[in-house]
Amino acid sequence: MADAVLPGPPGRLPAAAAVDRLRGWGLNGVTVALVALWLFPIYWLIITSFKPAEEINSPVPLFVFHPTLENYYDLFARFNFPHILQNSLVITATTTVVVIVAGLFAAYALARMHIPGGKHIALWILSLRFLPAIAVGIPFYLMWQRFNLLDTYLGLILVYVAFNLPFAIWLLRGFLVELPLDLDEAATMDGLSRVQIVRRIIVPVALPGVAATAIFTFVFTWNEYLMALLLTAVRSTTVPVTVSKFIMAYAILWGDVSAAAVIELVPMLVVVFLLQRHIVRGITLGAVK
Amino acid sequence: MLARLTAAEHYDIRIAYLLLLPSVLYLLAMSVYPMVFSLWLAFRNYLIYRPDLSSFAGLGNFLDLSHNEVFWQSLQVTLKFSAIAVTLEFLLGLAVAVLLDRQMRGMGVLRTLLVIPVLVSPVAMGLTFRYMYAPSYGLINYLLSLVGLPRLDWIVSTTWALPAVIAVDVWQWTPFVVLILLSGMQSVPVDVIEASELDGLSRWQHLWRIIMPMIRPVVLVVLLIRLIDSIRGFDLIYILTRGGPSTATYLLSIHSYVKGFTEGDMGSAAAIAWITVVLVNILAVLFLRLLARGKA
Repeated sequence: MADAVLPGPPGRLPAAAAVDRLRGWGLNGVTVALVALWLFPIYWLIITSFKPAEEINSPVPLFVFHPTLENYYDLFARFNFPHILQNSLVITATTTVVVIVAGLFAAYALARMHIPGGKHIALWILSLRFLPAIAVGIPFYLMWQRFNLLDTYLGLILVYVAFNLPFAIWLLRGFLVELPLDLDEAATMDGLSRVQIVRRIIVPVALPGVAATAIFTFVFTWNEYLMALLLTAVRSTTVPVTVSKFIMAYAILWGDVSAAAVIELVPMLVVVFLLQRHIVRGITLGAVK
Repeated sequence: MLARLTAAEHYDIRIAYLLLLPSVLYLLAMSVYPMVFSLWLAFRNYLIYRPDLSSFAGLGNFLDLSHNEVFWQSLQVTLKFSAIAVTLEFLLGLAVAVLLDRQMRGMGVLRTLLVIPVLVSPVAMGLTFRYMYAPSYGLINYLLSLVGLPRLDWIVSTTWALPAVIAVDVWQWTPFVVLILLSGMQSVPVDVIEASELDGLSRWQHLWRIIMPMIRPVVLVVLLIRLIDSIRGFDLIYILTRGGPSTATYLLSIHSYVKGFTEGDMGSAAAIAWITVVLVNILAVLFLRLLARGKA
């Protein structure tokens, strides 16, 4: 931790420097402790999912326990969980692919081509992100009832694409604006069409941004609860809806609940560790630009 | 200006619109149409089980709501929830951002770890906190009992349910505020920081007099995002309390959901949803004005 604190200005008394250094260590300790405290609930969730039932309901919370997979076995045996996982995966993956493809072309046009009124269009698209879900949920329920789209993959995917496209376009636009302009000019000289430019030049160069956007779309879709609750019932229901139904039951099966919640968490954790830096940039870019 | 564009540029503009068109048309169809449909619903008596009996209601749904105490409580709870949660998230977020805006080994890892709460599903987090809030075996009550405080059934108590759900919201969203503020702070030029060091400003003065005015747009944007998202919030609170006990945590979105999908009164549900939309819009306009004034 020797480099923890920058050396004080030259000419400082050694005593003052020592105080500075001590204070730096103190602040570092506080910082680490805070982050640890913030992550504690997730740690607690994960260890709960590996505890046997009697330890989960123990009046004295246990940090040392007998790890078991019984909650996971139970979950898969009792609740048709593989089928629900498959629903969530198909719906989320399809949504992500559609959103990224459509979003890339729209973002490219907004970021790198001259469009009269482009700024207004971009702002209108962003404003859609702030529509309350329940406000569109009510009409979609009635519309999908009429079109026989309730409890189908297609019904949910159509809505999820609309929900995620605005934020994705906004993020991608932010990433694409930063690329040097002569990229496109050189490619136009070479006789590439705009669609070819996006595919062959922009995507490879902006890959981290595209990946971060895809991950956000994936995570938001994977986590989405209200629309899945409204628009699906049995056949096409998703992981969050199923997990939430465990607490409707008479007694809450915390073992099954936490195992399901951990499974819900896993894709997200994997993703964060694969693309950490780009994700932080994605979150801040989405809000700051 | 358009007249002076060359043929090639005209062609390029057409291509740009073509690239944009699929997304814009899709978003129009999937947002404007449902919103108009829901506005139409708000002015009708519309029961989910008997759509054939639907009839024009005029302002009936809105008048009913204005006489309904539950609606006013729900509005109050929503505003209280947003105001308290966003204030706490901002103050706490600012403090943590200042702590993270320093040189330290492993700082990058800490920042990445802070992303996790933002991306965790509200359902998973709501359930985890329900378990931790549980009266007899929950961790939180156990810790309280260690220091001699009574065990409480947090989310079932009319007094404590709202603070308890606010705490979870603060847990989930403070890291988001931290990351945004941090990115603002790190865009402040180094010579500004050095200048204020030379002027002998204390850290506190430096933060409030130099940094905060410089990152004012970022501050406004993060406040706006959090306010809107908390006013339209649903998932986390619904999982924790279903809006109860009584109306203690009955956010407008939950009110609308229950009206429409439990009681089957789609007209009133749409009316409540539209009131939420208007509320969100008022806030957005207010903040955008503030932002514009800062730029002028």
